[in-house]
Amino acid sequence: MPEDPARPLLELKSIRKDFGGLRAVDDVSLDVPKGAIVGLIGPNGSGKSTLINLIARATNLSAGQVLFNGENISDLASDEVFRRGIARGYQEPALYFKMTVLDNVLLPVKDQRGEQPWYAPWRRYWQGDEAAHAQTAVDVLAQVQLLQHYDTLASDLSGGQMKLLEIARCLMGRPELLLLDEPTAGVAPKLAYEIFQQIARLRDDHGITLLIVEHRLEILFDFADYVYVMHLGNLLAQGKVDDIASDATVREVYFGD
Amino acid sequence: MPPALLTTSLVNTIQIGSLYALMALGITLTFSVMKLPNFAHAEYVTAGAYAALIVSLSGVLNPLVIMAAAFIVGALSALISQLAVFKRLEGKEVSLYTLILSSFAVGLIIRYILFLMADYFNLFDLRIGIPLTIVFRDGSLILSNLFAWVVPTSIVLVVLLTLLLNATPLGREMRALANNVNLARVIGIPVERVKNYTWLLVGGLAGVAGALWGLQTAVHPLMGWGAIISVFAAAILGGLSSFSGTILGAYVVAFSENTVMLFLNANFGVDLAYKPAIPFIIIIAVLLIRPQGFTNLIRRAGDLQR
Repeated sequence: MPEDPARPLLELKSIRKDFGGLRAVDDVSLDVPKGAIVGLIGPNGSGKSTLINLIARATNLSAGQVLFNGENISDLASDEVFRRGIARGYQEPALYFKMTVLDNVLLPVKDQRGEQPWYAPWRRYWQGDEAAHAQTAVDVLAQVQLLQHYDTLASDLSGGQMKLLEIARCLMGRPELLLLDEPTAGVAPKLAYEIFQQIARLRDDHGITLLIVEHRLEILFDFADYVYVMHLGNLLAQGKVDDIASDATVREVYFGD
Repeated sequence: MPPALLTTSLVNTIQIGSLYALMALGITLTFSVMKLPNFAHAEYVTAGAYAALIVSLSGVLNPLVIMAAAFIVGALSALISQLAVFKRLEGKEVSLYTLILSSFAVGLIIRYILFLMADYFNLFDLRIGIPLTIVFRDGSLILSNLFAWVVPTSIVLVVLLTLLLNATPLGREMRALANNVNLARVIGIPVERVKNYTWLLVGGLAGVAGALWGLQTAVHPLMGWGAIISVFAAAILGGLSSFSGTILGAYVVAFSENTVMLFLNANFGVDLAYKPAIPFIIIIAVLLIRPQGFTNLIRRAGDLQR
């Protein structure tokens, strides 16, 4: 199938998720165009995190389809989705806390020679590869300003640094699409802005497309190109940042005015 | 207790303890990476011992070739039990109890396959055909060539395994699985592949332990099963997660079974027939008093969950 330049990177087609009797996501369709920073906002419990989980295949869809680069990924396992180029970050940073920062970013590297038992005992077969991966890791860590902490245990980082480490780990997998669930939750306001600057650089320097769930609208609106608003499992509104910021229904749902 | 007896029992402690360490590390690794207390581990030992015996009966007496054969057979039996049973059960998300029971069942199947084979070819209670020689004698301290093979081999393998775990990409992924397998999937670690590799290593080490065991006693289909409680006691002393703790636990169990038992026998008249009770006592005492075993007491390289 020839690649259609106008085709969105990610397409959700009428996806639905039921938890028992509760419909957490109800018939949501949305597109994420290549190279965009797309915001996903809405009050607590509106289904934003569930939507992220559905795309990353952490939970099963009840109905609908997720298309990535035109391929239906609705039935793939989560490591397969990662290999296709979708990486994700969590609201609570999910890291290997008992491993070093460098180990954490080296883990997602695909098809390492030294991960096979017949090569692993003979260092000379994989140390070249490993040095190259480590160099990539160093570059990625430098990008998120964590390089001086490469040998620290992940558990000894601050909350904001953990978020940055998560982003660095995502980058090691060379994703096309990065899903971030509240990248600034529990982070000091100044660092929150820095995190978003990093995120913008991912798009500008690496062409990574981003779908970001965020509560800090004032920061999100500075960086996002397009925003979807969810409410009670439905898409309430969508549009460019300026339209959403002034949208009356959105203001009512969000700010109660 | 006469000093000659003490020396002999200490030599035994080191020799048996090294073998226990080799086997118990496999238990610890399986439990950490696969979340499975695997009782079939005993039969990988027996399978390795029979592989070693058959190779030696065929006329090959080079200990390295014998151990390589044992490694391969042990590794394959472990991988087959994973692919045929444990992986399928995990896919069905069964409880831990089901997995433990299934490991007993897998063990029984392997054990009685070995029984059938031993019966058909009349391979009961044979020793691996490496002649016993004395390599060192000083007063009551007598070291045989078995000691010279068993102890260094075990120590080298334990060191290699620790290095593999801490200094290679495979070890990094194994540690990741031990800490959080769901996250490992999300960040694209090939979880099933890493598990298979771990099984190969665990089974292979058990096989080598079987070959070394068969050098010092007769090979019998029940030999692995006879050691499994002692081996589990060692792993439980290590908290089922600490490498250094498991190694220390292995020597503690061996010391209790040999030196302490002889001491009790000489001074308090405790019958030597009570020896098999010792690992049970250790397991119960550890679980009651200090369930985490030696973890957090000693922190060294190789701990899977620090």
